[in-house]
Amino acid sequence: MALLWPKRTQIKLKIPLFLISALGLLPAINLYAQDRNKTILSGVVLSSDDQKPLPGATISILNSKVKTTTNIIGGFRFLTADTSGYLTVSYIGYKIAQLRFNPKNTGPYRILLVPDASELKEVVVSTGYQTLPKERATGSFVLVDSTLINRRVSTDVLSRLEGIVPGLIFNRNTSSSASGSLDLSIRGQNTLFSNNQPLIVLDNFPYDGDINNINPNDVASITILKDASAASIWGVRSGNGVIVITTKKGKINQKLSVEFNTNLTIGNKPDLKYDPNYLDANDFINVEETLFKTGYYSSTLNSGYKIVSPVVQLLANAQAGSISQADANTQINALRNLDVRNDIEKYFYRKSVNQQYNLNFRGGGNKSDYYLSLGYDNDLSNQVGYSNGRITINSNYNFYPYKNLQFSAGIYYTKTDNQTNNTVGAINSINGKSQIYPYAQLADANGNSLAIVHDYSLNFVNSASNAQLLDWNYRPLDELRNADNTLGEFDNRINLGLKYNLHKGFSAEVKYLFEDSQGLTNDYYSENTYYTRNLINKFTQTDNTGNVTYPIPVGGILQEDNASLLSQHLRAQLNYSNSLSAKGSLTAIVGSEWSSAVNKSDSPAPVYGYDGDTQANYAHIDYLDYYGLTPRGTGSSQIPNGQSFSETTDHFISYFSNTAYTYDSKYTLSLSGRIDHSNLFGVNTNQKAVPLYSAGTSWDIAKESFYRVDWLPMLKLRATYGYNGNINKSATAVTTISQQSNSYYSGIPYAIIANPGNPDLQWEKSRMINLAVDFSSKNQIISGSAEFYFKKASNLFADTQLAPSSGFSSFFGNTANTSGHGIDLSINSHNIYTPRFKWLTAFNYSYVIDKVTKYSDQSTVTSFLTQGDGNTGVITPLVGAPLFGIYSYRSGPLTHNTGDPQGYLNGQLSTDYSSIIKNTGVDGLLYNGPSRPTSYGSLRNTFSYKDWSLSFNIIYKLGYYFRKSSIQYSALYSSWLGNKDFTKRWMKPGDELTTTVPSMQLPPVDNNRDLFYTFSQTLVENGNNIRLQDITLNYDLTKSLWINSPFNSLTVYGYVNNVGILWRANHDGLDPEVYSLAGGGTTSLPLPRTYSIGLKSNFK
Amino acid sequence: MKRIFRHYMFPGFLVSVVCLTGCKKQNDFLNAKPNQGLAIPSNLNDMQLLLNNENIFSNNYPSLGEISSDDFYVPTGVWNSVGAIEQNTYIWAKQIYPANSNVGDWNFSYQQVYYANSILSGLVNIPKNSGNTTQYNKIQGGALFYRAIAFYNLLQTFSMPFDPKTSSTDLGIPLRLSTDLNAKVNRSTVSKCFDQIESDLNSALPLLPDLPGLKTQPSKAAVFGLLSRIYLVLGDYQQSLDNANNFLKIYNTLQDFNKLDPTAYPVYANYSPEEVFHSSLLGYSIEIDGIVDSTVYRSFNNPNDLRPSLFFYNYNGDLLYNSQYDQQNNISSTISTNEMYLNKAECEARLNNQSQAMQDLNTLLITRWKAGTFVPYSATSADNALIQILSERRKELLFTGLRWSDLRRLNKDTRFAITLYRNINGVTYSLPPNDIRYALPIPDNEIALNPIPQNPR
Repeated sequence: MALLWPKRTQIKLKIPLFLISALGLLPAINLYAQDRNKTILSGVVLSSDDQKPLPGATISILNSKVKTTTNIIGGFRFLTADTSGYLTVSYIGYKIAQLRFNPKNTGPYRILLVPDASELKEVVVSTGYQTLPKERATGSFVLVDSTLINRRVSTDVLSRLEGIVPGLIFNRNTSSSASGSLDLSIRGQNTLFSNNQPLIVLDNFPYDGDINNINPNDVASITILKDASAASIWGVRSGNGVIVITTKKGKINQKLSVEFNTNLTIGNKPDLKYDPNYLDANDFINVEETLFKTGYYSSTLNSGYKIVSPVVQLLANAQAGSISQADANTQINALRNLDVRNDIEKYFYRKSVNQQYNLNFRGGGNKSDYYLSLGYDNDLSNQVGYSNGRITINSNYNFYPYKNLQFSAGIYYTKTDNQTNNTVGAINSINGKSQIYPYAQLADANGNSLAIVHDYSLNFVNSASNAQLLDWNYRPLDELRNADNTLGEFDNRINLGLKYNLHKGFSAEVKYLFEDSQGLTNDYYSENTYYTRNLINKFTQTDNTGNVTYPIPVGGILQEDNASLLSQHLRAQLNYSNSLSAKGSLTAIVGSEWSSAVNKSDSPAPVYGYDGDTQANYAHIDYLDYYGLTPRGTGSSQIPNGQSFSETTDHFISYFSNTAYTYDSKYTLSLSGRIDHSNLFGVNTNQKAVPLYSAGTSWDIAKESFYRVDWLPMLKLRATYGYNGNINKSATAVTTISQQSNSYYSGIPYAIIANPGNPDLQWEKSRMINLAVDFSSKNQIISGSAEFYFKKASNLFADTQLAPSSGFSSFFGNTANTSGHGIDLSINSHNIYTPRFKWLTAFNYSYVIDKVTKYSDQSTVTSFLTQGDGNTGVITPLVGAPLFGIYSYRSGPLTHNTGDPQGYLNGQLSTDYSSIIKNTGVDGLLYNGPSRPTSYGSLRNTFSYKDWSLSFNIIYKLGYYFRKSSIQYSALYSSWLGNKDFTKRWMKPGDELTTTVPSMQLPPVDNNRDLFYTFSQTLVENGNNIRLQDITLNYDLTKSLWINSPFNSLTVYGYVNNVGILWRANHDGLDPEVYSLAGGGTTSLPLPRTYSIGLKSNFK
Repeated sequence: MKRIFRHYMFPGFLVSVVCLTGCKKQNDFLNAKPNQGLAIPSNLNDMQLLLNNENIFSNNYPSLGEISSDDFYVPTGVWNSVGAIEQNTYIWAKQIYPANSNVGDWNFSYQQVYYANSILSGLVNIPKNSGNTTQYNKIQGGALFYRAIAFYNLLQTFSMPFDPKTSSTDLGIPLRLSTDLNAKVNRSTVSKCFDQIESDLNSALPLLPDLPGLKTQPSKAAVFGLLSRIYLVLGDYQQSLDNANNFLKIYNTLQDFNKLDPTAYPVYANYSPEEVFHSSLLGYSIEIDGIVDSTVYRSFNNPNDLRPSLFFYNYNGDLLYNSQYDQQNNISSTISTNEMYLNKAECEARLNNQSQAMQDLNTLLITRWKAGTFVPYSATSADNALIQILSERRKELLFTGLRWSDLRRLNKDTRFAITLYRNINGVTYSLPPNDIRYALPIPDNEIALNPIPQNPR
């Protein structure tokens, strides 16, 4: 958006305006004398960021043919017949500006043009080692500029990349994603059992800390390095792609600029009723009544302490005659309309509220520049008790004391305070059960906290308090109230740099980074918490005379854990960038880097008898003796000590070089190489280190003299070839031992070989060939790029069988290969591009498939069924198949007479489940298809009209499958795991035509029938879906500002995220992007929709 | 100032780059321990700790030979209840191992070889000096001994009995002498295998103390004992005798059976005092349920012989083994004084020293008789002495894992050759002397990954 300042800024610009007047005044008088109807317009055009004149800018009048260009000092002056209208100012690399003129206002104008990052100005990509102009890069880089980064609203940086980078996908349906970690893939996956997440680089160095510590407001741009040529500079850490984050910096001779940004995001409560693993209370009670009649619960009831549900207890009481059958029925019927999810939603969830504030200053004199930013975030999660406060202070300072010398220093400080007090998970974690019974009540009509079944039967728990034990009831609302768990973290990152420009394009630099980060978990379980009461009760000892002793003292328990990271990087680098001849230019770097990262975690023993108020505690705890546990029959145990200490050290020494030669601005050749050494593999292997290298070339065809395609003025071909690496910390080249106590016969200390050394260990390598074309039509109406890549990953770590005479029957070594290929397509179009109204479209499409080509171990059928999809974080490789796939038992329709599911045994339909399971080998499983999207991308449309702009992003994921959960009668009966499919079950002959849900089986339950059905092809669904990810609306208030406002610019915006699914292939209303465990039990919930409003401002 | 800076900046930078790349510090930096919980075995203490791993070095010795031998039998009902490997081994089947099975007898012995090799290759990098020589030697000798006994046990289970005529071409076992997991090692000939074992033991001999601190640790006595056992198998009776004598010079304690409590279990609270080296066999349930052969039981024909009351116990009318189990409930497989007296006696008899042979036998047997009742045995000839000695050997060394080796060697002599029979489900199986099934098959997963010739069956 252009910043237009009429006459009132005249004083600041004495010289140019004076010149303009001098140049134009006399003729103007003459012309004016000749033609009274013409208007004289004059002014000066300047760049908004450094106030420098822009010579050659085009000035025109809307809907008129009058046109002129600015002179050497940016000035212009011309005549028009119109007395009022719009003046349009355009200049390459800057956003088009418009201003209104009328008889009262004919200038001189001072027109400030704002640089447009999306225009074909020199776009610079950063590899973390150097920045290079995009047109000279041969590799696959995606640059995300600050406009695109700021399109989304979030506390963290990386989630802002979702749906805008071709080839980058957020795996939402994995356990790691469901537990709150980021799970990204760039162009598929090139490893089986090693790290599969991209390397994150923050301002030159790998970021070893928690990525959530980085404030998105400090980020200037993000470059994603996708192919070998782009990423191989990062060597063995680049195999999964590299994300380079560049923070904002000041600029020399830039006047002070102050920005203030703030936003508020309010999110819905999650939709608890999404979870298909729920059976409503009425059906659940009917099932319990049926089972009770068969005597299913009698042994559990006889134990006295084992868990039974309230309904079963009532039925038992009625049977025993302690209450009448009629009373029991009345009480049971009162439970039939309850739904525990309502209570959970009411007491354990809330609307999330996230606030973000950021204030930053930047500027520079002639010998220094600076950037200082202060950020504060306060997030209240949608789970009651979870909150997160973050303070970030980022400062960056560059000092040029002598010509050619640059000294830089920066500090990035983050402090976070988290409350982790939600106990909703514990409601469902009942001893031996998967879920709470659906009619549980958490509070009575007056909101008083009620007890639910947890570890023991309510009968046992209620009798226990008489026996000098502490109250043993579990009351979810009290737990929420009494929870006191915090996690405090700080992260301190200090950068130092020294750069010296030698003559003729040579420069030398040294960079150093120190990062220190610590996290302290503090869990205090007061005497009121169930955790503490339960532990004290379990260990309570009663002797023959009835005396009671408490081996765990009555009082609170404090558990503190401490984790720390200390990392250091030192890099020395020589740069060269210069023209070698009239047409050729060379850019080269060579250098070396040492890095070290030490991770420690300490968990001391818990402090028993701790009193949070006085900090007093009991010193004497007997950790050695075994105590018989209460209730009797639950065994004996030592008092939990829980001490653990660990320390890991990663050392790297690397040598790298990168060279690019461009001839005649048409041909570019690039080469890069890197050698990594690390302490993981020991010195011997390092000496044999194989360098990772790449080569690339590009050809700008459009610049050739023979090229005469007018409608396609930009056409460039690129090709790269090279290797990236990956690392696995669990394998070592040297033999490692671990000391044990108590040898088999003599009881002396001894050692086992923890990891057999393998001197042949190597880095995992992935080769990638990338072929690309970049194009742009005239006026950029359509521009974009298409990339095709072919990958081969070799030396992948995997378990492999060894000849047992080696001493081991299997071994984790470089024994597997994968290969893959894919397409990344990115098209931008200017559908309508007028000064007042614009419609821009960005379309991304990615296709990727990876297959295992070599793997010598063989997994079991069960592991293919339960974790073949890879969503639990484990890969089950099969040669010739994709890394992530859905496998199932072939199945037919339900039987007509009994509603039993049918599988295939020797090619015939069969209900002999144990034989089907026994006789189905891996070959006999049905491979349904990939479990990760093979085609994905986004479609983003942006409309702007005057000062308004509206943008929405549609994300699609296609070509994959998922397994849905259904009723498992064995799990329903024994662990209360319900499923709404129960209501759709086969009930009478003929139902098999309309349902695939098997009939209810009565005890004794055939577990194999449930197992077969759970993993049958019936339950595999197509995962294809298209969703409206987000909508953002901006209103630029800048033009409407009053004359003396303190703002240079002011924008308000609204943003809606996770808007909704537009289309899905499955008919069950399931979101395939939600993680669910095969076989049910753990289903996370769809991300709730959030609404944000915010303000961006830039002060004068 | 500017000029100075400009002049020294670049050379200074170069020096720092060279230093970064060239310094010896680089190796120290890259040698940092990746995980504090793990150690790279680098000093004598680490080696000693590995050598102390009794689970590896003292347990799970091959047991398939014992199952194949005539120490015990099982009724069909028991046979039906045990695992496939045990069933097939018991009836000397052609195929023994189910598909994709790991065979402990093979795997554990080679694990022992791997550990021994790890120690031996680790020692190479540890300088020996006056301060550590004793410990260094003890560890090196120990590892050599453990490797030798593993090779010997494998050879006795997985290759055909030693035959001097064919041993230079008969296939032995793969001799793994390094820790390289990826190496493919073919089967060496039987004579090469014995050469390796002898060489390991001879190297170990000067390094070891006379007697161990712990019964599970190797010693000179153990080396002499194992050499005596091996030379007996090789038919070199003079060497076997010499080594038995050397053993007995160091250690000749015999247990007076009058002092044992037959109702105690285990009979020896720790170890039998006759042992100088203790190890135990891989436990298979067929052995635990094994019933003592009735002809063997009847051969204990002297009422004053205390051994039956200690060796066996009556369980529901069946005689099961008793005192052969050690403190960990495993079948003991030891190098002990009683074996050495029997080796010595046999060698003396074979070398025509009839009276010395009978004297050695009587020295042992008197401790097995009720006090004051023993009448010394006498022989009419050296051959007669040998027959008596072998008969007593059969009784004394029951269920110690030695019977299979004795069957293998004695079958070569037609006087002592016997055919073994089994009766399962009404079917009679037999194993004639010198049958090719005296070599158990090599596990299939070994051949699949290290293509070596299988034993014909």
